[in-house]
Parts: sequence; structure tokens; C-alpha cells
Amino acid sequence: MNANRIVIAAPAFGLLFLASLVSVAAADTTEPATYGAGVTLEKATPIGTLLGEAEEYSGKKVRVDGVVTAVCEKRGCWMQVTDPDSGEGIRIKVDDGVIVFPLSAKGHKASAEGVFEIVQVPDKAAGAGHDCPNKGKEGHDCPNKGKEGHDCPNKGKEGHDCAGHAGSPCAHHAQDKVYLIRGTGAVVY
Amino acid sequence: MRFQKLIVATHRDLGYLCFGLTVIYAVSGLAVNHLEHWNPNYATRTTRVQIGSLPQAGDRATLATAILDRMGIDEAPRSVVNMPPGGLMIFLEGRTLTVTLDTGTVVDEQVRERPILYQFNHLHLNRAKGLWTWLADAYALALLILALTGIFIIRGKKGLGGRGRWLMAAGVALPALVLLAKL
Repeated sequence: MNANRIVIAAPAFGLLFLASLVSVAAADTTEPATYGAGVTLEKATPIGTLLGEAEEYSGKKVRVDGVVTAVCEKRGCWMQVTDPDSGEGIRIKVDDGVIVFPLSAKGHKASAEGVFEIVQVPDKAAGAGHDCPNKGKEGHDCPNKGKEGHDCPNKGKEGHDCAGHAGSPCAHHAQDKVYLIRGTGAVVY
Repeated sequence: MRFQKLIVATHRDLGYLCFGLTVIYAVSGLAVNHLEHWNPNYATRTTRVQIGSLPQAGDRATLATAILDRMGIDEAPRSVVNMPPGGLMIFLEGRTLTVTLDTGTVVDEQVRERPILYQFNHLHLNRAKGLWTWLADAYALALLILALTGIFIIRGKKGLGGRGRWLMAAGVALPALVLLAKL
């Protein structure tokens, strides 16, 4: 093998690169996008029913339909699916990097599937010491808002998207439970 | 000598070949390394406007039309969501309006992708998936070959027989020490 043979690999590598860019562009189309395993259940459970009869659904695989009202801005590791009529929403939490929801999903209709969970917040005061870097900012997207025990400093403030994370402790300060779906897949339309 | 020539040629050509991807991965690496301090993918601009109080009951689509009219926005909303009590969210392309109906306050959040960085991060974090996964694997292998061939390019005192040995040891020791300290 000599040096010239190595140079031959360059065009092949380049073609592969171009093909990959095409696949990147194709992924950005407006077609329904499937994330993870997509949805397999035919029937969706209304979000209101899920939240109202939480104990009954706990640990069960469910599908919810609604509008994406919030997305984890930095990692795409969760999205909030909300019933547009009632405004009741639930967070679809996925493993970091395994499924990544794009911010562009906001406002799109979506179906999501996973295991419904009731997370007990051990002690609301546990979040009191949390010093959020965005405390007080408009439109604050607190990185800790989904964490157990986090006591959101922006609760009730205008511009704060607590409305977008009904499944988080922020929206349930009066409660000791948080509802979420451990997402296995979703389709964003 | 024949082996040495092959090492140099491999390192040289792979180096040229990997230039573009190395720049992409390095720039994106710097950007995503500081996720706690900023959002490397999106720039968000939030403003607040007053449009006067609005009826708190009624069809949300009609309400949304009235709100967009008052704000002078000529765009059909992607969706409109009730946010009780007394709130409404209107989703437009790259823009979200969060409305408090009784006060007529609208929080207008506009999000745009950071040019270049968004694309670099898209590739670096393998959000493209598919064929890109294989190309990224090939690139990782190429980097490994670059590292291995790199240490044999120079011989003698400036190579592995001299300072090269110590520099390489330092480069291995640094992450090892961090791991030892953390684990």
C-alpha cells in the first residue's frame, strides 16, 4: 500500500459526507416525525382522566394525544403534551440523548406513549436551597424545574412557563406528587 | 523506511480528510460543554406587550384571531391551547404567545436557531442518526489512526525517544488523574 492509495479513500469519504448531509436535510421536513418506538397503542387516554385517576393508571403503559406546549430547550429530554381544551398537560420524560425532542415541536399536535408514573416529592422544602441561575427572569426555563423537591422561584410570575410543565413540581406546589410519563416513543405531527 | 513513509502518508492524508469534521466537532464541543451557562442551539428573545383586556370566555380560535389582530400579526397559528385559569397559548412559527386574558398581557417568546452552531451541534450530537452514525464512526476510527500514527512520525529526541514520550505521558496522565480524583 502506498500513499496514493490512501488518497483514493478521500472521494469515497466525501461522498459519504454528502449523503449524510442529504439525510440531515431529509430529517428536517414537515412530515410527521417519529421518536423512539413511536406509538403502538391505538387508543389514547385523555390527559384529564390520567391525572384524575392517577392511582389507577400508575405503572401502566398509556398513550396521550395533545399539543406540545413546552420542550426541554437544552437537551430535548422532555416535552409537555397538553389537552388544548382543558389545558391539562403531562410531561413526557425520556432518557437524555436516547430520544431528543426538538424545540420546533412546540405547537405541533403529538401522540406520546410510555409508562405513567406518580413520583412522590419527598420534601417540598428540599428545593428551597436551590439557587436557580435564572431566578426572576421572564420566560425562565429553569433547568431544575423537573427535579424532585425543586421549589420553583418563579411560581405564579408572568412569563414563567410553569403552565408548560404541569407534570413538574412547579405546577404542583400544593401537592406532594408529580405525574409524568416515562416516554418510550412519540409521533409529532 | 517503507513503514515510516506509510505512517507519514496515512497521517497526512487522514489529517486533510478530517479537517472539516474536526472543526465541526471542536466548535460544537466548546458550545455544548457549557450547557449550564447558555443554550448552544437556540437564541430566545422574550418581550412583554399590553393589548388590553380580553373576554375570558369564548372559542379559543376566535380569541386567538382577536389577539393576533391587536398585535398586528398576519399569520395563522399553528395551534391554540387553553391555559386555565384565564390564560391562552398561541403557537406560531418559532414564536409562542402566552396571554393573560383579564390583564391583556402577552409574553411574546421568539426562538431562533443559532446559525452554524445549530447545524454543528446537530451533527456532533448525532441527531441526524441514520447514515451520519456510520460517518461519525468512520471519523472516530480516523481520529484513532491519526493519534496512533502521530506518535511515530518523528523519530529521535523529539519523538517517542525523547520529549514526545513525556508529552504523551502527560496527555494520558491528565484524564487519568481526573478520573482517579472523581471515582
